[in-house]
Amino acid sequence: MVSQSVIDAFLVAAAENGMTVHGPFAPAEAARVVAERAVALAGRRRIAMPVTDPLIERLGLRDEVAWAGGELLAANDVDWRAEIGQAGAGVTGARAGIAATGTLLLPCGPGRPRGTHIIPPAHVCAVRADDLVATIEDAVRLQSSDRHPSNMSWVSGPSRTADLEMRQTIGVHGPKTVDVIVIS
Amino acid sequence: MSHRVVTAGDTLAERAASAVADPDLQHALRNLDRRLFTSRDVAEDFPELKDRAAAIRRETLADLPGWLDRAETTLAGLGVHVHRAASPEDARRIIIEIARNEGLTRAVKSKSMATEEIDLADALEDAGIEAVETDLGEYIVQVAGERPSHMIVPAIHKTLAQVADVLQTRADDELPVEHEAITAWARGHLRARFLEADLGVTGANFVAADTGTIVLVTNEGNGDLCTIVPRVQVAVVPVEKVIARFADLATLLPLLTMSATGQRISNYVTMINGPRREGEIDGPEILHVVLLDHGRLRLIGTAYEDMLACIRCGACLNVCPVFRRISGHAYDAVYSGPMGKVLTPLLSLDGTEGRDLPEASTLCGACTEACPVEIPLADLLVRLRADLRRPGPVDPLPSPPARAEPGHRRRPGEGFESPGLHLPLASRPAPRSNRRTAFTVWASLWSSPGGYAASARLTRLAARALRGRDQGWTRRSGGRVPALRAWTETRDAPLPAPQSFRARWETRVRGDAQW
Amino acid sequence: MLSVALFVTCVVDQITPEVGVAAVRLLEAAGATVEFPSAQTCCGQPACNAGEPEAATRLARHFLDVFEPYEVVVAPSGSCVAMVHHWYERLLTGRDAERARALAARTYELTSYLADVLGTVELGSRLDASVTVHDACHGLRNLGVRDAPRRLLAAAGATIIELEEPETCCGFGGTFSVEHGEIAAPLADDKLAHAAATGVRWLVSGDVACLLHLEGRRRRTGIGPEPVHVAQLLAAGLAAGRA
Ligand code: SF4
Repeated sequence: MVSQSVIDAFLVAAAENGMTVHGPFAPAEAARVVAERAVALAGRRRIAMPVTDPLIERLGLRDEVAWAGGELLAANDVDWRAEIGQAGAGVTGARAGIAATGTLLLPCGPGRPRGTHIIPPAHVCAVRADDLVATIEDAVRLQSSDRHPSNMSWVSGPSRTADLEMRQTIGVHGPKTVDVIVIS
Repeated sequence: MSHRVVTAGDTLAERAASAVADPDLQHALRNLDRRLFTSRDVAEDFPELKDRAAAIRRETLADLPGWLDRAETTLAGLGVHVHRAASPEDARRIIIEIARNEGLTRAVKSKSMATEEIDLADALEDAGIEAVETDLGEYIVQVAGERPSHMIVPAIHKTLAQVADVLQTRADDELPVEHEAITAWARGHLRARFLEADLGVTGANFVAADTGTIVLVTNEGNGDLCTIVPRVQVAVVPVEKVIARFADLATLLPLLTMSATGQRISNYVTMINGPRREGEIDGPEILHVVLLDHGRLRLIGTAYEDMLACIRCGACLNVCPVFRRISGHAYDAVYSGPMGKVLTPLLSLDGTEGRDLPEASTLCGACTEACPVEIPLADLLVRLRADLRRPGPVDPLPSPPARAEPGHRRRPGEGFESPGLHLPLASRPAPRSNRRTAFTVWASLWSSPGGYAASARLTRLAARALRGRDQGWTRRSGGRVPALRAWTETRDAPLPAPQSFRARWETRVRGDAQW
Repeated sequence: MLSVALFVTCVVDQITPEVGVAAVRLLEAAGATVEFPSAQTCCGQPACNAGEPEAATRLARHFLDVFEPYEVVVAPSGSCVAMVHHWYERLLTGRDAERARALAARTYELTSYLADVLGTVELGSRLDASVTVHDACHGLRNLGVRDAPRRLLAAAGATIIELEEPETCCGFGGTFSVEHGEIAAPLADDKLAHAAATGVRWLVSGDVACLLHLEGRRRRTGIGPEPVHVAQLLAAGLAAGRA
């Protein structure tokens, strides 16, 4: 069991990073919020989702998104590569989250493409409270105990640049918004 | 070199003068002041992290050749093609060969000082491969035909209006001089390049030898994009980017981002463990790592070894009073600021580059104080001033015996042999023989009280000629004394006091004066 | 009786002897007996920083020979003391390096000797003046001299108004100031402008070289308060204190 203080710290840090935080919610409620956010952000465009992400499977998120009226772009669709550039949102499940830094750990794998969190203009991510760790050091240790995936992205906010006169500007390459839904 | 010279002048002093006189540059540079205080505050908050990081870096460097071997083995085990490049020429040749063999024509690049060092974007373009920088700041300087002026904020030297002017050359519609609008335009414009690219070129912030993990740190997310869409990825990795253990990232990652931008962690940290695997639908099918030596390994076991601990955070640039006034272009080198002043002459295999850079420091030590991995930058500058008196490349002192002993270790530089390494010593600048003579004479006089007194008497006599109405100061050029001439160009010069301290002391001892 | 050997430094000896006189008066006010070893010349820093370690080493040896017999060495310059502390043991080898370490351990910058070692900030100096303090680089970063001059000035009753970026270099830098006047001058301008913004009467520092550079520039631009060595200002207050 992860302590309440770790959950609170994560929520605060993620919000400081410019993410929109939701929850913690019970699984059913969380699934509904993820779907709602994804559909709202994607507009009429498709919603990119992995097909082997354990969290997304457990929450039944693809069905949830379909019920909420979203059009899916699933990782096993033949047109994924052609369509991902036009998708309106990407939905992922995080392997873990880091409380100290408000970071999401997103591994890739078969059925779990790298592009989901970065190519669409909006990113919606579910993370289990039980998968939160306190520090970067904990996350590094956790990752060392797994088999390293071919790609692991740590995401700590929307895409951002300070290259114009050192002023923070959002959405330069990746998503302009990151929504995090914490599942209790 | 095809880069446009932005800050004009043949010598560092001339370029510095034009930088100081450029009002737009001076205005743009004030934006850097915000960064100054962030990274310093952070350094104060995390001293223990700093110490641990410094120790980790030194530990790896002590056997860098060994860790390189280890990294090569683990990377190869993951299916990565590993190359060793002795020189920038070697690295360029290797990468262009890869592109030709694979039939690649469109490259996207994420920001990397190593690729700047080997001038890769230009080399790719020359070879007929389109190469687009994707970090916004890098893209701006690429379109402008310039070099980055700061390793973290490449276009810090430009005002927003100047940026808009530069990017207008690529935009169809008129670009407003407005942060969000320019960013939005760049997003659309560069997005198209990402989606059609077949080659992703990156550097690496770290490569963990034990796991073969290539780590890229960005805020824009362009590191992710460069390694997702293109079929082939090439990572250019200077040898000192290899760290011993994946676990070291727990220390080095937050230290890097805090020192670079004051962030606890950057928005994107991308960890790549080999190419795309069975069943995966994106990521590079083919992944190459080019390990770049370029004179680095010969520094192991010398006084300059510390410089290889550098994690390219830019903190030393942000606090440097000289950099904050003249910006990166005046250095006329890939690496600028305090670390550039040390690294540039060390990396110059023929000894022609950056020889004048170590002189351009007040030795105030702000860089040493700011460096998160405790590189004694100011001390290294002093050492370089001495070592650069000899013509040719810096010849670091040989390894102390304690280090050179173990027989099983690779000799530094082994595996990196290349015909390109032993270049003829072209256009060696004359050693500073005048200064040397002056100091030799000075030392022999001033190491005895008699010599000191005699030279003081002479100086006082000579100064009498300069003493005008304005007691104690002169505005005159100093005629044949070059140092005085240089000083009085911008400042009045103080003259010797009519009576020295020791003369006054003697009067007091004799009882002729009361203090 | 507390005995102190004064290393007055070559610049003070030749150009600003009044700073040496002030140092003597302050040390005596603190109850010390001051000796002036007359064989002293220069610490060797100009050569060391110019990349001439051989010349610097000759001067370092001479310094060792002159000052080794004394128990305490004090100099009105953070920079010269930093030279003794930081570079001597790196320039010299073997037994000389040992000697250098031992001597460095009893060589002090003036204000930190008074305030930190003797623990005497109340010297009987009275200053009715507003000042701002420029932290000269080597004293600050190599020796940690930051509070000592401020404590002494405050104890004398001076009003201290901190300037912006007190720890940023003034641009002097030895050979740098002649090789790169084009940067040294604007850095002096920054310092003088920051000092001017405080509206104080005096710009105080602990290193004469910085002060001469700043005053040389100020004489051209007319901007900024008058640069003065901390010892000189404090010593000027001694008379007022007695009166
Ligand atoms: S020398 Fe130190 S401060 Fe400068 S870039 Fe390298 S690590 Fe950062």
